[in-house]
Amino acid sequence: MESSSTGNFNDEQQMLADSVAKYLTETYDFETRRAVANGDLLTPQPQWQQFADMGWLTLPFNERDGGFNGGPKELAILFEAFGEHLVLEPYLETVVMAGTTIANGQEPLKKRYLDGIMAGDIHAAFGHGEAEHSAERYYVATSAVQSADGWRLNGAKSVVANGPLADVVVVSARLSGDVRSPQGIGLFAVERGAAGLTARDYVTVDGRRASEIILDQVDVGAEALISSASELLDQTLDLGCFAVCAEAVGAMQALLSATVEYCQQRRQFGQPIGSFQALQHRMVDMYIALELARSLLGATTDALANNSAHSQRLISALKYRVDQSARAISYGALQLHGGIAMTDELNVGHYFKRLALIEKQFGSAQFHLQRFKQQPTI
Amino acid sequence: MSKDELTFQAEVRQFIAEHLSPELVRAGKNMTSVFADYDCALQWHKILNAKGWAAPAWPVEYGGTDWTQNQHQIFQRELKLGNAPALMALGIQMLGPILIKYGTEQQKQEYLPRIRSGEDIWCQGYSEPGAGSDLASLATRAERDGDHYVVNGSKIWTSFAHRANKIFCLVRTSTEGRPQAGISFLLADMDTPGISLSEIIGLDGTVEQCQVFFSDARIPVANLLGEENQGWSVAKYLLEFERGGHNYSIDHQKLLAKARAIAGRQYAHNGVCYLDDAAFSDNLAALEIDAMALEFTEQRIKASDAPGSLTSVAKLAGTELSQKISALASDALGAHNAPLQRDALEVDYADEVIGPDNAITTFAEYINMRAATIYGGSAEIQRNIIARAVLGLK
Repeated sequence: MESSSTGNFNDEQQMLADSVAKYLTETYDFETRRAVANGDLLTPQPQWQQFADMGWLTLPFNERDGGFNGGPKELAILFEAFGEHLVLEPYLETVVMAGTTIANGQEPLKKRYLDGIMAGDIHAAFGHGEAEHSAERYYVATSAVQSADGWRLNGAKSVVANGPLADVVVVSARLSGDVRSPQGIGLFAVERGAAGLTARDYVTVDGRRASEIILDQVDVGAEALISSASELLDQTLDLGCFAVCAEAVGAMQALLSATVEYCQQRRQFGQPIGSFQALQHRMVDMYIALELARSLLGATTDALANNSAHSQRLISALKYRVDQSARAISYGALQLHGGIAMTDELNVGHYFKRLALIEKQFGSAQFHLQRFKQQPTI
Repeated sequence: MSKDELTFQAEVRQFIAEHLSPELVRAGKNMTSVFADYDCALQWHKILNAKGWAAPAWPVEYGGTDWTQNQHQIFQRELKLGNAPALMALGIQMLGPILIKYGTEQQKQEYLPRIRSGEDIWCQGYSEPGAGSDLASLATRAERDGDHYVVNGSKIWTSFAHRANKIFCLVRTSTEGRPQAGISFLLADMDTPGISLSEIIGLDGTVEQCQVFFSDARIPVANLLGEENQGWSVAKYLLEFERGGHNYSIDHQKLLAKARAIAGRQYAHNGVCYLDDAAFSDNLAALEIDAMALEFTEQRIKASDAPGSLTSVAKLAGTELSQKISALASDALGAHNAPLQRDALEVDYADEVIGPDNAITTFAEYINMRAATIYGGSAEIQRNIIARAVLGLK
């Protein structure tokens, strides 16, 4: 049943896939994960340093910057495995979102943060969504006004994932234009400890950490401005979207496998419940939903790797499909497991919660449907 | 609504205005499942009982009312939409009708007043680790020893067993014949030596369910409800109440109101408030149509002498619709589903909530609603019932 979404690995990619799978299978069991999820709000996840030691944190960065020069295929390998094991470590936030953004900044900024991020010493977060406008991709009311020696930021960011642990937060702030304009949005690196930055930290329903961040007259230096072009914001959001879609495929695979296994082992009416046709058909539909998502993940990976002009169209297709598949598979997994899936003890419900939050990130199904329609056809 | 019904509605509203304290309203508003804060539920139970409204559906001679179907409907709707906390239902809605139908005079005298007053809180021991959808295969043994049954086995998904002082349960008293033929219905005190429990933490992080263990628990034979080995008929009568006795349409009204409130404050991707967004409001309207169809179905059930087949339709359609509405509310809430705010659901929580203040129940409700097609006869079992009993498919 299992087949890689991304197919055709070269030797290096195969090694990465093998080592990630081996490490997570051996060390990241569900009880370990539970301890991390239920751990203190401000204690770093204990396995993060091992992620660094294995070189995973260097993956998407350029060789010039000390990175591994990994592309979308490597990212997909990593995130599928993260999804399968419900990994809580903030790779998405620190490395993919904040890290790759900072890598687009000027040398002093890169020097200050990149080595630390790759070494596992620096945590980072990406703050973009704002209050009731979190579904609006370009809604940025947070303002950036040029000051004598840099910029002054004012505004608030909602549900900033990994905010509690972050040493640096990359925030979007408006340089010009209306609050909804796709243009005129800058990305700034702000120290979490900066004067005027206050945060309310909390645990999220999927066992992660996030913050509500308020920026009240926060002064940053000129070098804090990473980019004044909205393209970098778009690129980063799309990369994050791609990563969580790969994660979702891994999680859906795990849910389907768990469900099939459970239905073969659970007996009612004198037979395994998996022998009932109604249940078989539901699992077949879950399998189809998974494979459709997996196919789009593979196609999107290739498009991104080839810098295809259709990448954005594919990312929207992928996210839309993932949202549909995630719902079909997680609802099916819960229903077929019955009461046991509604407990904290079994992992099934935790996959459901993670997938439910992935659906709500990086654009709703409706957003991606519209963007898909607006992109030129292949 | 007739003039009398309007008068009745006004009376109920007046009562709620006078007796439902802000704390109790908070307990009602903060419900994320069919259960409310236990202490608040009990407090409200006693207030209703003082008025004679704790068990309105029971016959008058047992402390019920002589209300018409419409009055019951009005009463339930006013309470629910007025955000009254739900009462612990198993005694009033489930065991009460059974006692009235199958109980001995002594059992009725002993138990019914204490259910009505809230003195006894009952839990239901039906499912077992090995007997869920296939309930008739239950294996908890009750062996006769003089005036007692000695009970051994385990029950699971026993809602609020950790707060209940009584349990009614199905036990196996015979292994002869069909599995259904050897089941008896027993009433027991939770503090009977040999009965113990472990709490089950739910997906939302709270405890509503338990597993109950029986280890040589001695239960008086006098606690048998109905005849020995006739427990299945008793249970089936009860299941009708679990499946058909619930007004899903009132749940839907409350859920739809919540979804609208969230959608009225959050913005869709296109910068339009969700309530005004074409795609979202179409989805909402479609669910409203289903809710209306279900409401009329429930009216047909109430008007019918033999609702039988339609009760499974109502349970299936009702629970699946509740799931869809809570999913839509969660969609509109977007990123704000993320904060885990269990503290904020406590009635005495005084701090500011994270994110919009009309949505602290949304994600927990969305999760918990997935159980609605599992408990009380799963959706698969309901479909089997309709296929066999209604459509005649064998």
